[in-house]
Amino acid sequence: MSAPATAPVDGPTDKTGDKTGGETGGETGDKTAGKTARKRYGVRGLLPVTPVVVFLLALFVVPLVRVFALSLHPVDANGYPLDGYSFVQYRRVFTESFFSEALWHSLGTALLVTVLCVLLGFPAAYALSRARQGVVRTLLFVAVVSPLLTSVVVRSYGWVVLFSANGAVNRVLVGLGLLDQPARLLTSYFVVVVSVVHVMLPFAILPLTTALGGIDDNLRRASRSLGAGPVRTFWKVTVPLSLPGIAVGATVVFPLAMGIYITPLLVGGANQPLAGLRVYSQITSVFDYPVAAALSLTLLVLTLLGVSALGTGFRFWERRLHG
Amino acid sequence: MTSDPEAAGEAPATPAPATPHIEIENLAAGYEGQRVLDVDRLSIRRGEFLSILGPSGCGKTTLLNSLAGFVTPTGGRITLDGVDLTDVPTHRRGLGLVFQNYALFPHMTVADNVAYGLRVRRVERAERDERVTESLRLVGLEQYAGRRPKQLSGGQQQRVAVARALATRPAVLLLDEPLSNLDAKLRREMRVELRELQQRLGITMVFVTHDQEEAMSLSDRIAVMNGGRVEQLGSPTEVYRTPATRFVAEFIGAANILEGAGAADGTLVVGGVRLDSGLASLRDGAPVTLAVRPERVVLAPGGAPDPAAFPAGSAARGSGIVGYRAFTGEAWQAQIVVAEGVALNARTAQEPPAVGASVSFGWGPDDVIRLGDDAGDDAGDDAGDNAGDDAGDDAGDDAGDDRSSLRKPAA
Amino acid sequence: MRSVLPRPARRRGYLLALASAGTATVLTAVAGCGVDTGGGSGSSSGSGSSGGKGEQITVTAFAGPWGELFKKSFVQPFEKDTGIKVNLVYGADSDWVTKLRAAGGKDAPFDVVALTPGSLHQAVGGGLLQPLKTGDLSNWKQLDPVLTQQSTVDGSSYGVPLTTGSNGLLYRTDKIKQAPKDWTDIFDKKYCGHVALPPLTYNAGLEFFSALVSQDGGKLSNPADVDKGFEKLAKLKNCVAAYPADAGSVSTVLQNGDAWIVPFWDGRAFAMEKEGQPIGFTYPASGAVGALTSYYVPKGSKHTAAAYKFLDYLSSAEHQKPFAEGTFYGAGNDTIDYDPAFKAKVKYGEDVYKKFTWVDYKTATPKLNEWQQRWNQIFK
Repeated sequence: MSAPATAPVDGPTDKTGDKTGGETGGETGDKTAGKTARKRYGVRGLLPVTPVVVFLLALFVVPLVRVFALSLHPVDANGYPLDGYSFVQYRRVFTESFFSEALWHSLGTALLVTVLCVLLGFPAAYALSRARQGVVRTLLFVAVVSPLLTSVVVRSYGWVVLFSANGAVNRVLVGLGLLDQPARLLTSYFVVVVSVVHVMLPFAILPLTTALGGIDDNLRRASRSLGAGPVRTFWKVTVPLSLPGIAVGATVVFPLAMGIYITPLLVGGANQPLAGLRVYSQITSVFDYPVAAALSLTLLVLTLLGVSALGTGFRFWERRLHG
Repeated sequence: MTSDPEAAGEAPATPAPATPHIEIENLAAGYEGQRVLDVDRLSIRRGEFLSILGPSGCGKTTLLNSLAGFVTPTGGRITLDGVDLTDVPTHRRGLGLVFQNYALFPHMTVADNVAYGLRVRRVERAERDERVTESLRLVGLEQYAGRRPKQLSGGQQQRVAVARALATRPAVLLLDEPLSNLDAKLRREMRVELRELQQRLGITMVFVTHDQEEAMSLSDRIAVMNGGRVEQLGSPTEVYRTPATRFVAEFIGAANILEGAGAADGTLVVGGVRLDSGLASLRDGAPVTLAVRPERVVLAPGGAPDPAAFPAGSAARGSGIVGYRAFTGEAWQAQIVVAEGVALNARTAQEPPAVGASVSFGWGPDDVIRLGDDAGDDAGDDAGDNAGDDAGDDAGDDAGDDRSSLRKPAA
Repeated sequence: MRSVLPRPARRRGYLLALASAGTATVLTAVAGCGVDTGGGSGSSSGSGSSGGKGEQITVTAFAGPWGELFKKSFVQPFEKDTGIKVNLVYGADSDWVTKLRAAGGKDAPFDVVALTPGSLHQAVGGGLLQPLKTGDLSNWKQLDPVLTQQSTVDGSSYGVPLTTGSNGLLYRTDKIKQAPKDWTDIFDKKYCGHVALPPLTYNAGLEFFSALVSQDGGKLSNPADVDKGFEKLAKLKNCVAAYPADAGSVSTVLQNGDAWIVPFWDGRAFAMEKEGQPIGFTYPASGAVGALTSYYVPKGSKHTAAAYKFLDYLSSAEHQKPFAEGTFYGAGNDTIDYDPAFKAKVKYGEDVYKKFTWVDYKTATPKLNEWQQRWNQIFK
């Protein structure tokens, strides 16, 4: 098995035109580059890229390739990889419901989390982008960013305490008379979604804030001056123009939500049908590394497909709006 | 270079009926303990083109924003056709707004931009399309209906902005330095178009600008603002010929300010040098501030020239040394040093004497402007007379009234 | 210094160099997959296993109070008496197995490693452990035969039993007034909604399931018995409040009051009780499930002599006593005379251990995924 040699090198840069021109033939390279009036990049131009390329190769591409190699082995009864390559693990991932169910459920959950993060993050981003320099703005900013400063484990544990039988939520519900006795919230899907959304929210809010802040104030004023009230202005002007920010937020949250396992593990238990959790349990309890590798790579591919679908969707939407 | 509007032969504006369209009373606004706006009274007439002119920070934009409803003033009120606008939100005021950076909706076509206000008012599709085309035709852009704002040039975008604001047929159009982002040539062209449009539609326009040439060439009246206050409100002629304050004199056109102690014989001592003011008499010993426009200054070579060297109507007033001179294409600029710290600027068609040469300067008695700052009662009367003479038929009395009510109270 | 080559060619050369370096790296890494020795807390490059002063061995221990007590009971006396330095590594057995697997049987990252029976078969199957030369261990005969049997695979003894816990019913004494007697009591409708059930992937969960199967004399290796076990488990459907997958979570759900009863270990129960919590423990009448911790010697350890010296300390009655009394687990050495406090609470001794059910990991581990999936069908 050999990795495509040029893929990692071409990847990080955009100058494929120049490079292929340079490699296939010096003269033709010169001519094409000469015809386009773009600046040619000599060796010196590529030097700054080298550290990044090396870093990516060594610490990202190589391990990924090794994981892929690991996933191509069948296993014995104890989960040890046997000699010989085969795709049996991938077959297992797609046919055994233990794994395939986890993948679909992760996809659905990630989409749900993404949508919720955008919907909930929008008002916060709106408020943050409109707040003027001063105490209020600083406070809002701290409120949004501070979750990122605490460990995700601590944050997730906070939800466990909050949603337990004796926790604040149950106490309020019982106290208000809505429930006779405390509800078993801890293992419900609802709680898992809530806590994952909580963890992901800052990642949605920050790009949204930037996008909303970039919308010219005068556009809002123009809309008002033309007779549109605040609600209409919001839907017809603010929301369409914040689309790039929404796209960025969704593109950040979705992959994170696809792979997250710590929060669901602490809040909902290790047996939930989530791909990240199942990879974790395969490694720590069953010790079957090849299937874990196959599952995680499948998850990766699924995430990439999801991200590009999101990207295409947003680009399509933007083009319809902006022309 | 600003020149005397009447001398340039500008066509007088269509007589505006003197009915107030917008009344502003005691309008005050400020942030963090600093007064940004402090207007006692400003009355805008129906169908007039009013410019609000002033340097940056003078409060003109705040005034416009108060009119539009983007800023809530801390005190005072604004009335439109007798209706108090204080509690009326922007989207119900029925005003049109044109912004300096056009503020066209980038995600809509030109037609959709223009139709925006009509859609809000739920105008039927047929009528809406009709009015959109009409608005675009007004600004000459009906071919561009399907384009996006980013495909248009600056001037075209500004025109679309105007069309969009006019589509809803507002009673008043507010414009916030709409031409400032355009290059000089385009500016001059659009200026003319705007004025023609305004006159054709008869719509009241409030035009904010820092460019006095623009204000002078477009407006029926100009409100000159400084430090949140309206220093003078009058026609371009009045504001030019009879500036109420030193600030107005210096801001509109250039002015040579002579500040000194007057004498009964009409001379005054400025910077230790005695000059003939050109006026018959001044209050003996009292401080006085006079202004003379550079283009009214006549130069003759030599320190004590022949009186005949000065054309009829003007006489020598003093002499000095030519400190600086330059040819700017339309005229010669020269700076004459009279005394330590006292210099006069002159703008002449003929070449002035060389640098370092001795020169005499003079002007006619009508070219002297007494400034309201330090003028006592006598000066006030004189100024009022001057204003009455020069302002012309239409706005004479009103202008006099307005001006005197806006004059700063004597210290 | 300018190259004489024309610019495109120079750039081409650079890019080719970069590309070939990249390919070479990737290919080497791929080929090296499997033979890589990997990381892990390396044992120092000591000079052979002379077991002498100044040497250093690496020993693993579970984190938390268990590890602290381990240090006090075994490590410190050992270091003092022998002068051999002990490098303690805290963690859990799944980490250690991972590291052993990465080492591939050579140059092991530990000299002495603690494992539970679940990981034992894994490790032996991968050839990661060396069988014990029981003759070299001075206390071997004192160790309980049932327990040593549990650390034996295919006839070879691999492990020195340290302590064994019993998996029984841990419950809150303030919520459950009448102590449960046997496993079936967990199905009592009174407790519905307040049961914590660890998943099969956690030792305690699998032990509980094993108990359900063997209660009627069934075996995990018999699929029909396994089916019956799941039927019993299904009685808990909709009654479970939490699915804790580690000791911390068990503690939390009990303290929160989310759970009143959970299958767990006696040692933990008595430790919580000692802290003042309202926790009680029942050794189920039909037999608790054994949870053994033993210490093993990995293959490729460079300090086996020193390791054996440590194992001697580990297995001696003198040192096991304080550890057992501190953790409330029965120790591997049968000759210990425990304090009355311990005797009153903990059930220990060969007869007790004989009655334990032990999880058949040889059967269970390969089937774990499948069973967990069935488990999920019930509880989702």
